[in-house]
Parts: sequence; C-alpha cells; structure tokens
Amino acid sequence: MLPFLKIMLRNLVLGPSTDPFPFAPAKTHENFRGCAVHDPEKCILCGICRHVCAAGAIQIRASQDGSGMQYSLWHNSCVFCGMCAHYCPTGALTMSNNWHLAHTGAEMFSNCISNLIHFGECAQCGAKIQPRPQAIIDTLGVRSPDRFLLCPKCKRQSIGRNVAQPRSIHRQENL
Amino acid sequence: MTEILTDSLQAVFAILIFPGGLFVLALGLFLKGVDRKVLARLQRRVGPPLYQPVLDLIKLATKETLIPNTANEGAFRLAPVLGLTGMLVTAALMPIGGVWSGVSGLGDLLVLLYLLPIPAMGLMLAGGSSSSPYGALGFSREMCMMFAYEMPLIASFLAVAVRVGGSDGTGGSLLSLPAIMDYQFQHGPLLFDPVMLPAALALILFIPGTMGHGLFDIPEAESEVLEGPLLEYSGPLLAVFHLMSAVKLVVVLELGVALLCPNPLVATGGGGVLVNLLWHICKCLVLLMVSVTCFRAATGRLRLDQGFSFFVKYTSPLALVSLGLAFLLR
Amino acid sequence: MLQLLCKLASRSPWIYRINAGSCNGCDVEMATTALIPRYDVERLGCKYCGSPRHADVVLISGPLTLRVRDKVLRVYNEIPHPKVTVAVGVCPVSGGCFRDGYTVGADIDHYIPLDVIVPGCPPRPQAIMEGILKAVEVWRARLEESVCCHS
Repeated sequence: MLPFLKIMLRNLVLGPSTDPFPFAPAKTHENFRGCAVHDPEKCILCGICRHVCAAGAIQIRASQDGSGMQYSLWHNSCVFCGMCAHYCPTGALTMSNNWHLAHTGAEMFSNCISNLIHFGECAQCGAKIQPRPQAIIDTLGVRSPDRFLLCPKCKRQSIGRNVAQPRSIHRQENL
Repeated sequence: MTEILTDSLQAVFAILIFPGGLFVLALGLFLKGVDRKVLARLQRRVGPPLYQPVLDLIKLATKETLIPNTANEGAFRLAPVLGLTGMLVTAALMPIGGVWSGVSGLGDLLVLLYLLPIPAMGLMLAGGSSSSPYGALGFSREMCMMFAYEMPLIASFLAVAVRVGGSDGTGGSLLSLPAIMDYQFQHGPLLFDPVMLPAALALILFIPGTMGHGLFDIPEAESEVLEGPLLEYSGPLLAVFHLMSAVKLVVVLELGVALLCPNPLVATGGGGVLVNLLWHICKCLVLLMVSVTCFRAATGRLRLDQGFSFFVKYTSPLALVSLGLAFLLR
Repeated sequence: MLQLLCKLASRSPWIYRINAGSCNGCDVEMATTALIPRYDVERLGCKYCGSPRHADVVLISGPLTLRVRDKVLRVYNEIPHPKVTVAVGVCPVSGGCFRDGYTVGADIDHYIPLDVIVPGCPPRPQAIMEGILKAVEVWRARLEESVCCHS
C-alpha cells in the first residue's frame, strides 16, 4: 500500500542525484558529438563536406586575393550530424566533444570556423591546383606520387605519355 | 475611552506586527522556501536555496507592470491587495498555543469561515477582471473548487464545535477558537481524539485543496490554463499575490494546528513564550510536510470534476462521520 | 545597495518557453533541465512558468515558421521588461536543416533580438543551463543599467 511513501523515504535518504554542473565541469563522454573541428593543414578543398552537409553550414568560397579558398563552417547552422567528418577523405574535419558553445547574440556570426586554405602548385607548370599537403600525399598519393602533384592538364599529358609507352610498363604502373 | 484606545492599538499591533503582519509574512516565506527545498529533496534534486521566495519577490519588484487594455484596471489592481489584506487580518485572529490567544471576541470559527475564502475571492476577481479567456477559466475553476473544499471545512468546524461544546454536558456547541483551545489544553489535543480523527483527515486534505497543490492544483494549473487567474499579472502586483499565498499558507496551517494540536510545550510566562512559539512553528512545519509537501510530491493534478467529486465523495463524508459521532457521544 | 538588489533579483530567473515551430527536440531538452534530478535547473532559482507575463528569460526554439510568426511576436511582446532572449538550438538563428524551406521564416533575429544563443541540434541540457547562466549575466547588466538610469 502507498508505494510512493517508500520511494519518497528512499529519495530523502539517498540524497540529491544532481550533477554539480554549473559549478564544476560536467561529465562528457569521449565519443560525444560536439562541434566540428577543421584542420586547414589537411584540407584538400574537395568539397565533399559541403556536399553532404544537411544544414548548409559549410561554405567554400574563393578568397579575395585569389591565393586560395575561404573555408567556413558556421556552428550556428551545424546540426552535429557528423556526416562531414564521416566523408572527409583526409580527416581534416573531425567532431570534437566540445559542447560549450553558448554565446551572446553579438557573437552570432563570429561563432564559426573560418580558415583560408592556400592553393597548391602544379609540380610541372606551377598552375593553381588543390592543396597537396604532405600528410595527404602519404595517404592518397601513394599509387602515383608524381602524378598526384600535377594539375589536370599536366596529368593528362603524363597519362598520355604513359599510354604511348609499351604496354608492360603501363601495366606495371597500374598495379 | 483608554480601554478602547489600547484595544484598538493592540488590534493594529496584532494585524501589522505579531501574530499577523510582519511575523506571518516572514514565516510564510520561510515555509514556502522549506516547502520547495523539501519537495526538491523528495524528488532527489538539490532545490533552490531556502531564501528563494524572498529573491523571487525582489525580482518581481524590479519588473514592469503590464495591465491589459481590455481589463478593468481598478478591479485588476484591487484584487491582490484585497486578498493580502484579508489574509493579514485573518492571520491576526489565529491563536498560537501558549503565546497568543487571539483578539478577544473575534476568534470565532464563523468569522474564519467568512475570512478564509477572501484570497480565493481575490483570485476570482483577478481572473474575472483580467479579460483573458484563461483568466475566466481560472475564475470558474477557482469558484468550483471553493465550493468543493468549503463543505468539508464547514463540516469539520461543526464537528469540532459539537465535540467541544458537548463536553460540558450542556449539549451546546462552541464556535470560539479560544474556547476550543482551552478544551484541548484540558482534554488533550483533538488530533488524538478517536472521534475527531476523520475530521482531522478532512482538514488535512482541505489544506492542499485551498492552497491548490498536488491533486488540487486545478485553478492555477500552469500547463493547462497558464496559471489561470494570475495569467495577466506581472511585476509588483504578482509579488502581492505571492505574499498573499504565503500568508494564506500560514493561516491554514495555523488553523490546522489550532484545531488539531494547539497545546504549548511548556507553561506560559518568561522564556516559555519563545519556546512555545518555536514549538508552534515546528507543528506548522510538520503539518506543512504532511499536507502540502509530501502530498504534492506524491500526487498529480486531477481534472476539475474529479477534484470536485473527491471532496464531495471522500473528504466531506469523513468530516460528517466525525460530526455524527460527536453528536451521538455528546 | 541598488547593485546588491540587482544581484539578488537576478538570482530568480523565471523561464518561459516559446516553441516557434520547433521539431520538439529542443523542447524535450528544455523540459529535461527542469524535470530530471540530474540537471535540476531550479537550483539556480529558475522556474518554468506558464504565463508569459511572469517570465524573465525567454527560451525560443524552432525556425519561426510563417504560421506561428505573428503569434510568437505577440506572445513575445506580452513579456514585461527587462527580458532576455535565449535561442535554443540552431533553428532560431539560422534555420538549421529547415533553412530555405518554404514555410520557414528564419532567422528570428530579424524580428526578436537574440541575447544568448545555445547552438546544438538539440543542445544538451548542460549547454542549455550554460546558456541560461549567460542570459542571467546579460539580464543583471541590463537591470543595473536601468537602475542607474532611474537614479
């Protein structure tokens, strides 16, 4: 009879189960999906993150002086789905477990990631190409390290040269 | 002439300082703070600090007062003041065992029966004058609940009066609070009187009913009718309503204590007054815990018709059982 | 003295929720801060009130759909000064994943000044509490300002 009396008594005895959060740091799981972090050193401006972003939080625009692209991710539009980090081929975008994002209204538009990413240069002709940081060459460019650093035009020429050469060598290279 | 003067001075003192006025306000805010804190503890929360009701009042004093265009401004402003003054006067009439025996000739259950609904009247006036449909809903709910909880109150008052009056063998009834207290000083508290036990239960259920807590949080249901009559109030006027409900809490608790167990701890005189006052506050706290805090921690809101029939079906018969027994045994 | 009163007054922020077409995720998290013992926002003196007239801190969630826009503005204007607005979730600021929808009137900033923004979809309860604490600071500054102007 009256089971709630027992519950209330137990609650009194056990004491509050409140986290001391505003006065002490809150417990956060290490896999907690908080705000995204962008590493401009690894970004190759492929734009897949912008493509998969459901909330349209990511913008990649040419910078004013034309030396690179302005990469921006607005936290006030990001819905923390983590798709960008999932599809990022180089691991430049990751989700941190930082959720301390509350800010005043004046900082509304400054609450974003904004990185200028410089273009790379074609190893042959010096034309502007996507950035080719060393970390990416080591992972994505292992198949054909030379051709990885070329602009599309030089790449076509290099492929053409390969095709013109004897078949055996071509096969070897394709392995 | 001087007698009238001292009498009226005494009455003014009683209404403004002790046991009404400042004392009741302070006690009411303290009890509200304790109520919120213990409620939080019952739900395994930390809860606000004990002085939170005071902070709320300070906050409300800094807010802007908005009055709806369509409201009747006079009635709108009058309602909270009416409720608060009515309750302060009632508080001055409440006797405290071993400390204060009430204003002579006024501490009468009939007077209380007229004074106790004043805050409900204030709320009804507030709901009616605020010209909001939710206010009107709160008004009708408040009135409905008032009819429901007045019944067991009247019945238990009668039961107490018959029991007390029947004791001297004349078969009459006594409605004066000091006489009821005297009876209990001689015969022991009515709480431990088996005949009065059902009426005591009815009285304990009346307290959350009139305060609108737990099952009976019907007129001011914040998620249904957006706090009903208080919907349109803001700033200082709302603060007056909060004071009113604090004083009302003290009044109904003191009424419960006076009717159930007003006995002082030690004999009156000297330091005994202070001890008795503390004892009285302790009894109020116990009654608060039983009838308000635990009650509202354990129960949720009923529908209006359920709340009404709860009082009609269960609470009133309890008081009537006591009344009948008191009649038979007088 | 007045400063002290402002400080004391700002310790009882009463909260009012406006759902401006939210998907209910943020509303659930807001209710969580009050109802679940682990977060217990009442410890900070907060109370969720039913009437906009009692509110000090307004929590707005949702991308302000066209249908509720006028109603939201009406309710917002019912709240007595000084009031502080907190945008909960990303929807009120940018529209989040509802951005550019045909029913979405975001951003709210064009209609209501947002004082504090708690981004998230939805933000976790602790983040909402952090936002409320920030809002209380804004509110205190505003109170002190108004007191100084009066005296």
